[in-house]
Amino acid sequence: MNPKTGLRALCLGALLVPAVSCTDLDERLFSQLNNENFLKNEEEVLSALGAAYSGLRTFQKFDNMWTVYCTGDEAVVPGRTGGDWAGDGQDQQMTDHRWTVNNRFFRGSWEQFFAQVNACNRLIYQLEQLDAGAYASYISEVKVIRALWYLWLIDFWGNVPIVDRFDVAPDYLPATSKREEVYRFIEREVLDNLGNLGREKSAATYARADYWTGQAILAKLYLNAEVYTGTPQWQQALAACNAIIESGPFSLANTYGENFASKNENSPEAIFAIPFDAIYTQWDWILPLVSLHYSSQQTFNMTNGPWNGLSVQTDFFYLYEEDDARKHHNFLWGAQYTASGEPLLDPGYERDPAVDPDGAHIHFTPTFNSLYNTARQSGVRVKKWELEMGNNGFLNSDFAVFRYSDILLMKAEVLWRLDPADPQALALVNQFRTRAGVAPFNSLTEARMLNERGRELFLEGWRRSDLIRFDRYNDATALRPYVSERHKRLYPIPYDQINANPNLIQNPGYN
Amino acid sequence: MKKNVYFSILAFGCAMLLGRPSLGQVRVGGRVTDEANAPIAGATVSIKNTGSQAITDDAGLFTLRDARPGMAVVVSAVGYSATEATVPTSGPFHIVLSQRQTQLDEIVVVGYGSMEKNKITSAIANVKAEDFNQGNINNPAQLLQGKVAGLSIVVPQGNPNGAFNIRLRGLSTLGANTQPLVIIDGVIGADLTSVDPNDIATIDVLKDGGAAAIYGTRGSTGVVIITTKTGSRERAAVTYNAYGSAEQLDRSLPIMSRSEYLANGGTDYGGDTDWMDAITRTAHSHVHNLSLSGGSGQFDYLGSFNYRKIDGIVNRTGNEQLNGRLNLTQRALGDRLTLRLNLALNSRDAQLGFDDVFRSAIIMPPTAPITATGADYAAYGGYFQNRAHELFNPVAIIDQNRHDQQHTRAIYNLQGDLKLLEGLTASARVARTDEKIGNGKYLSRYSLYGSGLDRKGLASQGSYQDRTDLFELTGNYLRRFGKLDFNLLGGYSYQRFLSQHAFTEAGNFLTDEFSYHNISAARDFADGLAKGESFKESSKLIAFFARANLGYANTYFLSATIRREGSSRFGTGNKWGNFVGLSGGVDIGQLADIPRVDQLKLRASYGVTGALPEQSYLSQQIYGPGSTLSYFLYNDRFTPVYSPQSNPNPNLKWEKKEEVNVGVDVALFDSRLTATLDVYNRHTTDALIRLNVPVPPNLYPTTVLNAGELRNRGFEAAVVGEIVQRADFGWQARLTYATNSARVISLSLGDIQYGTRDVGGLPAPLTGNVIRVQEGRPIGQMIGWVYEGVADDGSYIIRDIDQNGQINEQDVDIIGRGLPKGEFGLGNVFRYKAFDLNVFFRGVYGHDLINLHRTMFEQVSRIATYNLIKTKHFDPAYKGPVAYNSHYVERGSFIKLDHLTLGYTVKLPARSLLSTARIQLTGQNLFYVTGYSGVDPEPRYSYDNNVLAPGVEPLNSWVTTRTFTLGANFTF
Repeated sequence: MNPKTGLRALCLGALLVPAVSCTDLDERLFSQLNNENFLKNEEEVLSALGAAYSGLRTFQKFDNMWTVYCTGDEAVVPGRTGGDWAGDGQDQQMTDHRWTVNNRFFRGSWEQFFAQVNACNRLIYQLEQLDAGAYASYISEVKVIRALWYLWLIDFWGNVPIVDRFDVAPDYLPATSKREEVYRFIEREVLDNLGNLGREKSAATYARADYWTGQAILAKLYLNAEVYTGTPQWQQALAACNAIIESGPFSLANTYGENFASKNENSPEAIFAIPFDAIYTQWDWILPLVSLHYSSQQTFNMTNGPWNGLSVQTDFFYLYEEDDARKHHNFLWGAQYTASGEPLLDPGYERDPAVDPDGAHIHFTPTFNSLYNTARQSGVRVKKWELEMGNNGFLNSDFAVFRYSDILLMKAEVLWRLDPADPQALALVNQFRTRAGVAPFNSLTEARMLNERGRELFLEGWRRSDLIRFDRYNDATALRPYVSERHKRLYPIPYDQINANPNLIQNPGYN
Repeated sequence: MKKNVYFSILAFGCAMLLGRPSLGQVRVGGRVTDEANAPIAGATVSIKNTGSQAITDDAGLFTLRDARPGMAVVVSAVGYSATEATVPTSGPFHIVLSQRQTQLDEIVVVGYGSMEKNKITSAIANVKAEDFNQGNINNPAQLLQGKVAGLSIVVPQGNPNGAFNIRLRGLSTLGANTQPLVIIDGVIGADLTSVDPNDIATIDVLKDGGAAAIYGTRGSTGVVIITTKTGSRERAAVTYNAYGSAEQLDRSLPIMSRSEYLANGGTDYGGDTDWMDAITRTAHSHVHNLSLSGGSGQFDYLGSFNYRKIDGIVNRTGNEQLNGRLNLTQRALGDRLTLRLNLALNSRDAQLGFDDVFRSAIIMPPTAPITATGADYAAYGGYFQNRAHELFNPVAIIDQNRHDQQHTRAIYNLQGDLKLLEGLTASARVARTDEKIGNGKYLSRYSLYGSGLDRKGLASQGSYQDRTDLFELTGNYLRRFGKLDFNLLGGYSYQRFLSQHAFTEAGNFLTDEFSYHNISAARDFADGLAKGESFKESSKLIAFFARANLGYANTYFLSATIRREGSSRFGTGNKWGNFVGLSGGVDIGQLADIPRVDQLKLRASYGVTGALPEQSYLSQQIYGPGSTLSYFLYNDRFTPVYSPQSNPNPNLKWEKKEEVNVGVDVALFDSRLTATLDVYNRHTTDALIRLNVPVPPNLYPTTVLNAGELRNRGFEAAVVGEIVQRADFGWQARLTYATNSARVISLSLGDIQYGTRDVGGLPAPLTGNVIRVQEGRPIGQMIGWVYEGVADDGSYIIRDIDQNGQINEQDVDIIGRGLPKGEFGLGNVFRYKAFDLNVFFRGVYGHDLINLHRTMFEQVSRIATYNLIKTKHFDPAYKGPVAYNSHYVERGSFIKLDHLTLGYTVKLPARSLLSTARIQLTGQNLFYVTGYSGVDPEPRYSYDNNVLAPGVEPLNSWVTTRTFTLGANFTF
């Protein structure tokens, strides 16, 4: 070969071969969609809308179980002998109110709550881009769901940034808004969208954010208006409750327990429920795993082993009278047995009878040796939502964010606050006592009002705000034998967020 | 693209100008050959004192100008001893060069070419087959351990299927690619395990940025270049190597015997079991390597067949593999065209086993029997179990369950070199790597471990398929012009990566008989509990590169490199990056005639290299169902949900690392003492890291950002001394030494302030983090409370640093360092007549290790359920729960006798059929000097895949092993 020809051929080759692809560095997607090929048909739009609903299940995720249940007086995750759930003590600090800004549960909840706010913003933006008119009712639903997340945010952190747009500049860092502004934002968002929302209650519309959901959000917001803004709004709260009670398709269930059965969908009390399913929503609600003792696996023939964590606080358990049907429905306590009736044993029980006087046989005790180092068997456990035999540790029941009972009790509270001798308030409360098989009250007191709500609504997500509204949140308890600081009524803005966003202002008392 | 064309034109023009011989002078022709009369190409023949010189061609022929009979000429060639000869008055001028083995003339592979070692101006280490580590070697990384200053290699303890962790010059990137880029016979990004250790001729390590810049993109963590053996045209040979080895448990954690366990309050289950003994064995392995090589005329070949059967010391672990290789070279067009074909095939069947057996063997009470009868235990298949948290009978884990892997790989690599003009070569390479990994796992219906029992049998199958295609064009122009040598290189590189993954898991079987081979027999499919996933991703890398090397009078050297590279993984507008390297050196030994100094070269280099993100699609907003499809209830039906999968970062761009390296190469006393010293400073900017970002406005709490700034400094020394060189006795000593300190300068980006964060979460039931990442501070600060003893009430006394009477977060202090200060390797090779002895020590110092096993299983409060670790730190006075504080942080410094080899080379009779025969005995990991009480004092560079959390010895660490190997080597 002539060397010149060879060189020319090489140069030509060097030009041709890469020319096909030499500047082509576009990414090719195979297993995902991007902005170019997503939302091309109605089913895809529906799948996108689903993100707002499936995201609601994060309310029952790990960190949120701690921030929702453990800082009030309902539940606790104690440190146990041998070190289970112990360590740096952050779990226990939730209950004794000694938490710091580094606490991982606040970080987790903040990230999950705001991730959902953003998911709603993104969805609103995308639906508006697609066809704002055609999807107007979807957009209103998503806005109400966003308002619900803000209802939780205003309760936990109070002063939080209001972010209601998705198309923001890349370096946009939202600033803290005052609690009053957040309050007005929630109110406006719900009121502006109520008209677009459905009122029909059927299997087809079950678990959708509708008119009744919006009214329930307003009822909660107005009920706590004094806490959130300094100005009570009892009449507005009453009006929202009445809108549901007088016009809504809801009624009290015959028994307390049926509200929490495996198949509780379409329950007459469910105003807005988050559907859970042991198959379709695996790992999204794992309360049985978090609460039950390792050995309880043999009580319920579970196919996943539980972790011996969350227990009922001593004071709360003792709020119930002995024959209260709700106590027997909600709790597991005393001697435990296997599915076949044998005593349930713990191979790792404490040999020191001062720590565990019951030996290997597990007895769930209402009391704890201490918050930070207690026996493995300590603590009453939760079985409020049906624990089926052979369950996989995931709940099948739907979680009612707003339950008709709650609305009735809210109405009773408002009436009682307006007139402590209001007979209608007493009657409303007593119908729950009657249903639970305990003697009716002859009058209402602050403690009776608060604790009847507690007994009825155990672990339904409202105890924290109830305690704060009744000014009992900082009281001493069996596990926190002192009055905690008042600023603990608001959670700290997580350290990672403060670091990443200079426009955030830490809540008072945490600097 | 343009650059490439310009380069070609320039190279072509230069060739036209320079390629013509001058006429009209007194000329003398001659021939240079080696001792076997084979021609030596490229030898320099120069007339002493005049500077006139010539270079031999492929036939060894040269023509000298201005030469007259009687003149002295100096003849030198790479790899041969230079010699002087006198121009004869008549007859053939035939000069014979003998092969020389000094380090100075060694050829070093520099990436897209090679150079004589004395011309190198950057930090490159070269290790040849004869210097490799010996023994039971199954991964090429083992060949290098301790041999290259600055290259840290941590073996996966005794795990025959474990992955090696390789670090060059500390940590200069935070992504997945902390290990060096590997190049095998020109195939970029190859896997180190794709080449059989027996097939390797040399390994070159490009350490500094100046050298690695030619591989710009992924050069930040260093480059390891492997060249495999080739056939020789002179001689056909058959080589057979075989060895057999026996491997025993070396280091584990000391635990309580039955009597100690009972004396401390343990529970008596009526048995007496040494659980570690029950799960381990003396493992026997054997390896056979047959290689055929030879050639004639224009063709040479090497074929090799390697069979390895490796047993792990844990029962039912190990692997069996075949590695085949074919290296062919064919010359054509009058030797102008050289075609090289390399085919490499790997096939490996592994029994991975379950690492959890180690924790179980440590904590299962010694009073528990292995098997038990009765209805209670029938559910467990007759094995004893006692259903405590994380407690499983380790023998049952091994006997009941299976965890296997099948791994095949094929590398097709074709290279063509076309000599266009004298000194000008154009090359093209086409290569494909196809890799498939299949994992199979089955957990028995009777296995308490791994939910086998709960799920009534659980089977899974997973597969990974990776394909990498490489196409490269290079032009190389090599010319000597008077005293000036120069070498120009230009090229284009195109690489495409495809990877696919699929996984299926399902349980609930009627029988264990199917294992994981009939997954459709699982009832989980009908019950909605089965799991399936698959994905595919691709990416591309495209580069244009050029390099110029200049040398003047073998004294002054200069090298300049540029690579412009683009990756599909970056955001639009940020895809391309430029990586430059510049290095220079001067050999003072050539300038001044210093007695006994053969070389004294000072060199300095500067280079910029880059790093890629770990995955594709980070720059765009992607949507999908995620790895598990999520549902929501719509119209009474559970309906699929698609949502954004991550925060996009459209500004994603190249991570860059600048490195300055200053070094000196010294050769003294006829090169009997050589030393290489280097200091370096690496500065990484725009480091890719997944950082917390504010939510809102982001959807997810973390985004991959170009936010990091790191600094890495170190010193390296490599010294080789031929202390005794006598006919019947020789002694060579080699020392490598390296230090490194790595620091986080910043992890903040604009308003996103990193500040101080703690990483490295402790395993449940412990909580909290053990490593503090702090801007401006070293990587790997261990944090915790400071242990000061045990109080009368059995609790720990913790130092109250702020003296406020409370032990809390304010009392957390820095209690250790996760990364070592330095490491060294010391090898001595003694030769006495036909015997040789190789003794190799290795050590690492200055690092601490968090002994996680102790934090969880050394407390008397745990003894009712678990057996306890009983190291020198065990204190029965402590009655509290599991704990972490400075009591559990230990010094990791160690020295060990890494290996010792005694070899005997058989003296063969002159007419023997064999040409060489050798037998050798090697012992590996013969002893340690260390105060560490855990499994292995080697540093750990990451924890839970977080490279910012070094220094944690994780639970379930494989035990270390001691191996004795008897090997034989024959060449026919």
